Amino acid sequence: MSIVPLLKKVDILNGLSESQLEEVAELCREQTCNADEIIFKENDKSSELYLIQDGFVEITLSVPEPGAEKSIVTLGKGQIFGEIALVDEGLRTASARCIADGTRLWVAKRADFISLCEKDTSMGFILMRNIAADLSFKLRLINLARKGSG
Amino acid sequence: MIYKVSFVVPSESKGGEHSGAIRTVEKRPEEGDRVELGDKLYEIVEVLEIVPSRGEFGYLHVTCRPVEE
Repeated sequence: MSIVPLLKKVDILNGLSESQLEEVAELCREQTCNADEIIFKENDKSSELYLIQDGFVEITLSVPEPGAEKSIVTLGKGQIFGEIALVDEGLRTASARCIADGTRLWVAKRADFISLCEKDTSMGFILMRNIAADLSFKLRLINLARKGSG
Repeated sequence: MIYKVSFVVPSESKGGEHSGAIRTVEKRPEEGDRVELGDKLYEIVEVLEIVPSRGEFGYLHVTCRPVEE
């Protein structure tokens, strides 16, 4: 099944041509997970970027109490996560947990993604600009949520 | 148009403990619409365009309050 129709609705791929979307699609493999399944944990080494096709994923941060976590945001269809590691290659900044049975993800390896961006620098520029915009959108959400909580 | 929407539930709202959500939707959310976040129902009280739209994508920030049944 082609995921190009899904990719057309993903804002970080906004501006890519049909053939460029097909190249992105070739990098992706499907992964299905169920509620409470951990996709990755905070401080894990990271090498992959995730796109939600269906379902929901909760992003959480650890808090000082042992074993406790704080929910940061819930992401749904068409959203990406794991992109910070794509940019800086650092450890995971948060944990990602599936919260709906049958959640379908598309997973791309960082190295493949970066290779594609380097091979087609026009596409690379669009992707990196869009990823920067996605990160700023998430930062705005967190800032607005903080304002709301006083 | 496809809308990328961030949902916030201010914590001073009764039941406003939701951490927020980001979703992609194809219908622009409007004040008074209801939305399910997790297992709870919320009503949209404010819609802001916080970033100019780009191409086919619009970017909205939505404030919600819990629906008291």
